[in-house]
Amino acid sequence: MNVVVSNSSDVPLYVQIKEQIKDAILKGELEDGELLPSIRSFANDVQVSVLTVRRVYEELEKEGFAVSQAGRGTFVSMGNLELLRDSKRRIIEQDLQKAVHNARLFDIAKDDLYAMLDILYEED
Amino acid sequence: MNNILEVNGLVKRYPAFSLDNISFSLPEGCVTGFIGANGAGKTTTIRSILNLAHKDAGTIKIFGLDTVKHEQEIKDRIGIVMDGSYFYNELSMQDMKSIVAPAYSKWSDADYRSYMEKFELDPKQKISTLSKGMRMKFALVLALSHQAELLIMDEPTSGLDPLVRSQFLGIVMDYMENGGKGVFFSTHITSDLDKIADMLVLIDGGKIILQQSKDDLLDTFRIVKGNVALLNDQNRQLIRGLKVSSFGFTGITDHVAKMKKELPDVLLEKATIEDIMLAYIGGGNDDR
Amino acid sequence: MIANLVKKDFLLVKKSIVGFLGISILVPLLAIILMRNTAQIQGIGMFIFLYMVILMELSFMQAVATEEEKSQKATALLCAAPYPRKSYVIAKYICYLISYGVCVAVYSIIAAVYPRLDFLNIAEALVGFLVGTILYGVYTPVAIKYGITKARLVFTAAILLMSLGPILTIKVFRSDITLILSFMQNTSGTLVPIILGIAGVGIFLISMIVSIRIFAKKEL
Repeated sequence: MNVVVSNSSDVPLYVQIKEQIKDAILKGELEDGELLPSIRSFANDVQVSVLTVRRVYEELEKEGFAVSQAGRGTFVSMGNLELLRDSKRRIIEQDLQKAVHNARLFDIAKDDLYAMLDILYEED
Repeated sequence: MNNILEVNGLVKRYPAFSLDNISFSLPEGCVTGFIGANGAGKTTTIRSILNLAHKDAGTIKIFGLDTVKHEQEIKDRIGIVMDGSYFYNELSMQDMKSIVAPAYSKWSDADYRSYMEKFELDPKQKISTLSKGMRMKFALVLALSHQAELLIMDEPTSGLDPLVRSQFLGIVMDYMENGGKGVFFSTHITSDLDKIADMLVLIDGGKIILQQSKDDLLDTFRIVKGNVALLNDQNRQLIRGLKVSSFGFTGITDHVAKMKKELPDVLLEKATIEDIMLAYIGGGNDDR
Repeated sequence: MIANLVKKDFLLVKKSIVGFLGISILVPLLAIILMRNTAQIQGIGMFIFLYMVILMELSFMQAVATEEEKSQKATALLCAAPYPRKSYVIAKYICYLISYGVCVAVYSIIAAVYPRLDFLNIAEALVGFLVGTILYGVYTPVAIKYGITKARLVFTAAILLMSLGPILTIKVFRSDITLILSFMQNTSGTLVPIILGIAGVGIFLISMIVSIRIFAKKEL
């Protein structure tokens, strides 16, 4: 994981770090269940204060990206992501449901639906 | 998060100087820098924490235990580094160690020997012949050789050359990475704090001025510079340590958002810990 | 714990220990040499012993206190370590007992070798203890509270008393002096030693408690 913080940015240090970790998780560079570095070693490596790292981990946990276990450390937790992805899927499912229903109503065949999807994807 | 050291309402009166209701708490796992100018009350506070000076009021807790009721138990678990004048000068380091070591239940001679070697100290050497840097290192050896959970240090780096200072900082980092639960050290050398402090406590005139995470301080404060003409009675309030000259004004602010709104044409720069400290204790605004 | 603090006091003056022993040996030797031609005085041993004790205390305790005051803050470091302040004081009183014991030992060895010098009986030994304890018992709290410069006055007073004392005693008790000396010599009975013992131990304990209280309040 690459975390580079800028001292001359207006964005607070803890926000910079938090966002970079979130990015790493979403991109898959950090895997579900992976142990994040210990607060002290992370702080020493990135050269920020322990309290800053602590705050990052706390906020990551609040926002659903990590889970801390007493005595063992903080782990990446994709639980929330699954939920997010699931709920997005559900929205699309619902839209597709409507399309299928209308297709049946207007007597449009499944193959025609597929053809329409292809064209729509190419338009984007 | 547990607090490793809690000072509450500490009062200590001397004829010429008083600690006035000092309160602060240090979370576990942090290196805390206790900064202030000379005479601000740092040493008096530390001596009160260690019961070397008897407080007139207030409670102090270390590891959640009261320092008066559990004095010996607490002292067994903390390492102390004071300046080099706290040794018997006529004795050798070995002799000094033979007096101090038995007081600690978890003393480790193996640790002692390995630290002495690491710091290149000859145990048979007489303490009066040691340089200031070597004395500080010896004090560290004694503090680190009994599995101390908390290190309390009073101006450990004053009078030391930059090389020794940097070695000292490295040792503190190692200590924290290897099971140390906290470090509390007083200093007036702010550059040390830039490197290793997690939390800062600023004291001036016997009062605590601020206690904050170092990164928070550096995130919140900015140096402001601009044209004197832009100042008015209102936006003046947002600036500390204001200095006005014929070329412009300069100061420090922690109200960055307001500053950008009220004075959009000023220059905002990152402040160092020293800037922040001076702004608070430099004696108010200076308008000519 | 306390043992280490006792060791500390000896460590601080380790260079001078031979000197102290020398003093304690010299006093009886000198007395023997000076008196070799005179008739044996009953009970002179007591005075010799008294001198030994007082001089030993003077030199040893003063030396330790001087070293301690040179490195005043070292005491603070020890009290910042898990040494209770009480132990710090008790250790000093144990040092006194040790030096008293050394005087008894040295005297007895010399008495064993030199037939004209009688061994100490209980009463005489206790007189030595009492006088030494009074001296030490006043010196120590003063030294802890006011520093060794003022405490030195105590020793100066003691030296004065020592030099004038016997003369004064003789002047005052002129005719009775032999009576007193033989009284001391003959009393192996219980009353006098008990009184002396109680007085000695009492003063020892009171002084120690006072010193502990003073040191507990002291700012380091």
